[in-house]
Amino acid sequence: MKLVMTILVRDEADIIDAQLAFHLNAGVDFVLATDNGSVDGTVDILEAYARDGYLHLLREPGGDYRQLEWVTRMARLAATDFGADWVINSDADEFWWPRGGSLRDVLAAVPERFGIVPAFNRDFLPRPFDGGFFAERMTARLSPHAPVNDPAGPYRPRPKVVHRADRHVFVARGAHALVNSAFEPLRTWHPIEALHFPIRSPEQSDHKAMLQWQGFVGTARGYGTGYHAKAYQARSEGWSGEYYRSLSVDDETLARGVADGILTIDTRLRDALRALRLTPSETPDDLEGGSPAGHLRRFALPGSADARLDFTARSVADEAGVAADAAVLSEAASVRRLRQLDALEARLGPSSAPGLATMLRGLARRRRVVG
Amino acid sequence: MKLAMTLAGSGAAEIVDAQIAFHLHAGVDVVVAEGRRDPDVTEVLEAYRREGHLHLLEAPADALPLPDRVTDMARLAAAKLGADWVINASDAEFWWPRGGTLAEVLAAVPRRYGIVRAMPRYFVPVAADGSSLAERSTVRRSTAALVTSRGGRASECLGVVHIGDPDVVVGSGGAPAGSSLVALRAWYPIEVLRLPCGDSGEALDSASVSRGLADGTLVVDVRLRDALRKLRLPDLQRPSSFALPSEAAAALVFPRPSVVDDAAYAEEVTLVAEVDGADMQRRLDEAERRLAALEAGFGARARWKLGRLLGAR
Repeated sequence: MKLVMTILVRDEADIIDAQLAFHLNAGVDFVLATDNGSVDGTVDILEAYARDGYLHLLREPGGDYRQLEWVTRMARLAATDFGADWVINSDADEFWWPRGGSLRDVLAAVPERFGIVPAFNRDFLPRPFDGGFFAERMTARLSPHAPVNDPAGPYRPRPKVVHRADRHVFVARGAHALVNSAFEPLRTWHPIEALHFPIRSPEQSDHKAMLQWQGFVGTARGYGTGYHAKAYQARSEGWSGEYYRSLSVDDETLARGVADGILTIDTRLRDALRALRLTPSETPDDLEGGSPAGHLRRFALPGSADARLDFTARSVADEAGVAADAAVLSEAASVRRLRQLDALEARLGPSSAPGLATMLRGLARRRRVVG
Repeated sequence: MKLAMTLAGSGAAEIVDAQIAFHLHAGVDVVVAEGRRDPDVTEVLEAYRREGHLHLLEAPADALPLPDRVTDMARLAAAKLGADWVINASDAEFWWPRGGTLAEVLAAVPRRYGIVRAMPRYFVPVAADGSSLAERSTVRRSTAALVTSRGGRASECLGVVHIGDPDVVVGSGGAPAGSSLVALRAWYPIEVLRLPCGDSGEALDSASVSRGLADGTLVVDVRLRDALRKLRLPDLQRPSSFALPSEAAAALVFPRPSVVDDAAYAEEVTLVAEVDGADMQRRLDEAERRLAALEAGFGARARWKLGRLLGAR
């Protein structure tokens, strides 16, 4: 069984090395990456992985953010040119954590009739920035008892999907779904969590807000989500620092959130990356000092040492927690369907035409007010 | 972005003054109000009008129903005053934005939504003690208690803000009636603090309040009291007791809720239970029926026949 991960990146040098190393050690066999004009050293890191035979790099330097087209192209290439059986369409800030075995193991266990596996999104929250590595700082994740359905919020529960390879696949925006796919989704089992680190530092948050807004303005839709709009608004109106603080958790908020069960301390990724991090004696000579930002590979590749990651199943309490989280995810899905239905009804127009008397009354009132 | 508030009711001058002052500091640009029979209220309204913050209409005819009066004001706000969003408020309502001003909160709403709901907060009546209504209104019902008291129909109490529309028809509760505007459901970026007015029932004694706080049916909420304390200026030589927006020393701050605050609030939002599976199924069935009727209409049939004709050639 071959598992290919696709990834679309732009200026992700603070995280991309860890992201690639983690997945290659977690069961991903190969990576297809598209770089959209990075200028921060991301390309150097991607090229390092390409030289080692783990990655194929595509370049799209244009300012027209054709996310759907580029991700779909990679997903199709995974099927046609790289022999994939399963495909993960990932972002640079996502770490796909398998429950009970490697990514390859859990996907191999999926019955043949199912072709889509939804993965939990686990949002990790930024902490006051001290310049340290994101995974060392960000060990608190949101575990709300109800979905936060704020359309302008960054933490709305929404699954990402892994899918079987398909030469005709069409990946929806954000890789949250496939469009018109014949694959049946396996909705009742959640063997994978997507550990998500979208906001990592004030500078990264600010830069991302600008890039995403520029990207979405160039699309046919012409604008991003409420979250993108708000982040960009904060940036353009000069309160991005306040915005970042509102999304991060200080010590007092962390203690309150953990006590209320809204935040969970989750050190899995931190510990995994510690296990993978190369010691000075392990760092290959040719990788030292080659990057302008010193960002080249700092983590072990698979096979370069004993298996360092452990994905063994966790406790019954943990399983119960996952079941509760699944209920929240389901509630969020209901809200999305309700909003879709609202929009559909609005497009259909009023359910009955107003009577003549109502129309005349409305006209008379309009004359009184406007005239 | 221009935000207007229409104001109707029969409150005393003190509460009308506080209401207008609060909203002008919270992000409302202009108020549209009707003239009142009470000369003290009229004096307050005139004072705000003279300062350029209020558009004052003549007192309505007694027979005109409230929704019609609010409709007139909401239309005027859109057509003459250029309002992008309109809040239809009553005297004892204080619309509290969750982070940023009302204008900022509404500006962040994705453009596909034309209606934003507000989480209702009902303050309980307490015995008069010589202080103002807002000063002594510091205890409100919890959301769980509200849901229980409404028999699970708490969503009927939600406040409504809508985009400016010169043709809007406002129904009961301040919501546009028969409108094609899409409402933002299951998230309420504004809370509407409703103070007890004439028909709010008997005042609670201190023992009842203590009991309610202990069993979670009541919660302490001093936000409005503190905000109005901040705005109140002593010894003003004008009918209003509060600072105007231009008097910047009294600016209100609406802190952005933390992620933990939002997650806790999400639980309250869920209690309001706007998502009703059975009702969704009924509405889906109705939408399908209407879609089928459209597809069977003359135009659709003609297009289908034309398509077949052209296809055959």
